[in-house]
Amino acid sequence: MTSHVDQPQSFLIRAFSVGRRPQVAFGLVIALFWLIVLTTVSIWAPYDPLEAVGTRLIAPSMTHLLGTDALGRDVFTRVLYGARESMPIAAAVIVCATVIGTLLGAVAGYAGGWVDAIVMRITDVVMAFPAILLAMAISAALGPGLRNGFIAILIVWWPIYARLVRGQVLSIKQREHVEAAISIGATRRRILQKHVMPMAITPVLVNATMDFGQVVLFLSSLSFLGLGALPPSPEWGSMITEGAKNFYQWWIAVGPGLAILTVVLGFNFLGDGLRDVLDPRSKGDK
Amino acid sequence: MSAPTSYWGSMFRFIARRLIIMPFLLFGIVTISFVISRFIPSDPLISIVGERQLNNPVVVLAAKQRWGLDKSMFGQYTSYMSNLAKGDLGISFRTKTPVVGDLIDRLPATFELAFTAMFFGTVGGVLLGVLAASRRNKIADHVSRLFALVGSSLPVFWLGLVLLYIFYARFGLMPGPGRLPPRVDAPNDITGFYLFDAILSGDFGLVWPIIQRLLLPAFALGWGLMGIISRLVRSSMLDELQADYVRTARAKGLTERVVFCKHALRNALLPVLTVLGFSIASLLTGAVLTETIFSWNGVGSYAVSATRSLDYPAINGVCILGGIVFLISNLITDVLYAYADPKIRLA
Amino acid sequence: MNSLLSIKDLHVSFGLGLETVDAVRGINLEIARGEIVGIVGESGSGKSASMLSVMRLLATTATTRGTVHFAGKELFSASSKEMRGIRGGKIGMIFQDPMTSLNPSFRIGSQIAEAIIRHQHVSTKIAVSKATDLLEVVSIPRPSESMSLFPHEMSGGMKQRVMIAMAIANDPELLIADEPTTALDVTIQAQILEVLKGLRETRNLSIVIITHDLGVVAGLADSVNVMYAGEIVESGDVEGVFYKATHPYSRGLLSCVPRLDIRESALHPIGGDPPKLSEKTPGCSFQPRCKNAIDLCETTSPTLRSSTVTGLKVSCHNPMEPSPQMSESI
Repeated sequence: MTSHVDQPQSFLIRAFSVGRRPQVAFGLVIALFWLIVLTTVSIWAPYDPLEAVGTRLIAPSMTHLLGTDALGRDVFTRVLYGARESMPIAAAVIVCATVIGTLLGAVAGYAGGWVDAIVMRITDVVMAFPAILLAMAISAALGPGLRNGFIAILIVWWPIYARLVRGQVLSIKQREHVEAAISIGATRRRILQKHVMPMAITPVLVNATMDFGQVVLFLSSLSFLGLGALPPSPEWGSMITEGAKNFYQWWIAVGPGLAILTVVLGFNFLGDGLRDVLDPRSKGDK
Repeated sequence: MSAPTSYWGSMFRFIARRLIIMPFLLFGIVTISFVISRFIPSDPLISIVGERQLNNPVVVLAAKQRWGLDKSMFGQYTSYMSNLAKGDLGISFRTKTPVVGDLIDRLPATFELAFTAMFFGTVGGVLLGVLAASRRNKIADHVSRLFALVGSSLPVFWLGLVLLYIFYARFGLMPGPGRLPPRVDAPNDITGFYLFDAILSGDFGLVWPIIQRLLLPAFALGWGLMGIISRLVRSSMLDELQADYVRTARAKGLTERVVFCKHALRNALLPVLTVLGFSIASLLTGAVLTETIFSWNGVGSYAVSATRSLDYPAINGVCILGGIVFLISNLITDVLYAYADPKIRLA
Repeated sequence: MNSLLSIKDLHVSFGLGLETVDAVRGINLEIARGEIVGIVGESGSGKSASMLSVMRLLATTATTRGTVHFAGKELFSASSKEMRGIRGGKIGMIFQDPMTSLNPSFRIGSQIAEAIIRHQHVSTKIAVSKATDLLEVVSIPRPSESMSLFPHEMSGGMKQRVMIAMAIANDPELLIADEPTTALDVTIQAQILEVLKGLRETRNLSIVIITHDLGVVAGLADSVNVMYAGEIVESGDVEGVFYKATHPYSRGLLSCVPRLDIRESALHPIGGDPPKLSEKTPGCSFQPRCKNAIDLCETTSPTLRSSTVTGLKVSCHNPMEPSPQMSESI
């Protein structure tokens, strides 16, 4: 089928040329920004995110860049602290979902037969639910809170990777180098580890990067509905709920919304760039 | 060379195969919903009888019997399944009315919103995608791509809030949330779709206010879809424009407009059909959030109220409904795709 | 002016990043009414580019220079609207790959009818009946049933017949066939060539046939132009080129054709590669591959001149002798 020859370009050269694309650079900057905020905000943040630090519901000013909320807390500080709520959870969801999905998908795709049938029917059923409804039902059953939100999102998210990896494994299994390995009598386990998985993992990494923002978005949706984070926590979704309650004080909801937007956009771009680096065949956007 | 009869024959077999899988998927959906709803650490009794009555054994027992909570887990499951088979989803703890009736009452509102959003998303997405492809790498292309990207990256509930703030609260250009103006009665319930009902019952004064109130929520909900479709149309248009048949069409002396909008677009739209199927599920997801912001009395806001009050029959009902809608929309997508792409092997 | 199509000093170049590729480098060509002209050359020799430029169907990255007169009308200065009237109306064109040249989403009947409606402004009903007649003309079995087939339901040869039907739908005066048989099986090739030949006889159609296969033009064309690196290196009537060619490249091409009428006919592939068309060299473009090259070839580019020996036009400083063996077999 496709016997492609890799361009004789080093990883660094590709990474460099990718880095010259403005979108990828933008994605990198955003990811770095939130990473720095995430790790260091408690050192330099001007206010405490949970304490009333001023008059209630005052409009943005130099002392409170995004004003204060209904309890007199500084909205800007809370937006920054929001990264510490969503992003670790999102990272945990992505890591767990890719591990679970990759293992199950690889085994299903490689073993075939009834193993494949069972795994795929489970993913079919899970994916037949509109994701938000299933996650709502699960987190309602388990009770609100970020930990339960994490479990709910993980349950709706892993099948995506299982399917992705299974499809990859199925197509890679057909390639010449795998058939060659089979013909010289390599064990199944070794073939899967050495010949199939390294190729199957690339799209998983790309998708995981792009999905990171989507998980942040999803978590904020749950929190917005009162199912993820619990009230005093400065999670972005629940801050938007507070914004909706104080509809005319626009500054409460603007910050968290923009924060979500930048994270989703940034990791989307980053995923694009990663694909270009990892997969020299893709030309990126035309 | 296949004769028309064999085409329809294989089409029929194709649909039949999909229909056979559906009950199994439904069974899985129903079972999962049940399992979730019964693995609850919190006590649904609280939401039925209220916290103060919890110490009253008579009230608690009566409630348990009424809702079947006194049976074993397996007993609950079998009675749940047999009720389901009869089309009975139980009685909502919160509204105290049958869940099926609640859902039927609210489904038209959600569909009205979702279909309008789908219309916006599809028409807008195709237009934007074609525009971007025809002005490739020019300003219009970059702007439409940015617009698309932002649309699919925004939290829909935040977008709804911002739209309401700008167009309603700030400038008063649009009406506020809700399906109807305040203190106005709904048109006669014929289809449940207010717009159709208003037209059918001759209530033409209501048509514009109803449309107006659909615009913001449908745009909020449809923007993401518009983004997805426009990117898809753009890239598949660019692929199709490279195809040999486009040169043939030009060699026939057709105008660029016909070459673009008939020959290339027809083929470029095929992938859109698959996205439309999946979009139904994501529109329902978005509807849950959009309805909450726009006080839209549909299935989405019903689901939200149900989860807030731990109303399991209602949560189960919504999940099952969502699953059914998803299965049906997938089937429709497959059939449409098979119909639209003569090349597809109906295997 | 007697010729139907008259190409004068045609240049085509493509901008490719910073490089410009000169695909066609000043060709002249006259095609009379009812004449079948073959253009032969390797891929990349500029034969397709020159004919696509006549139709003005080149990519937007291409620039053209020179003049093309069709039935007295200069095409490069015609408006796009006039051009659209000529394309498919006065000049029909068929392409190399019938598999991809038909739109997969429309029935073949409607694709032919579309061309008819576009130029003849008739009702759909009339267009459909005309289209059915055309399928008959190109010998497609059961024309009226075949009208409702999709391209993927037909074989390659049948699709190429559909392409021909579409190209002649509006009774054009000229048909440009760009490698019409390359993608087809050998037996099917002969059938398609028969169809083309028949059209010349019944409709007095002029045909330009572009091919890399001399065998295709041998039985079909009246005259042949051999192209190399964007230039015509030898041209003349078909017999002459086949039996008396003196340009080393033409001879090389001829020795690549397996022939049954000449004994000890070992195939002699031409060594080396065609030149990079982005580079301009002072001498003859074939010189690096030419066994007959002399010093002059390196410095001065030859021009196309009539040869008194063969009656062909040839562009070579040191043409070969007409092969005695070949001449004998005339």
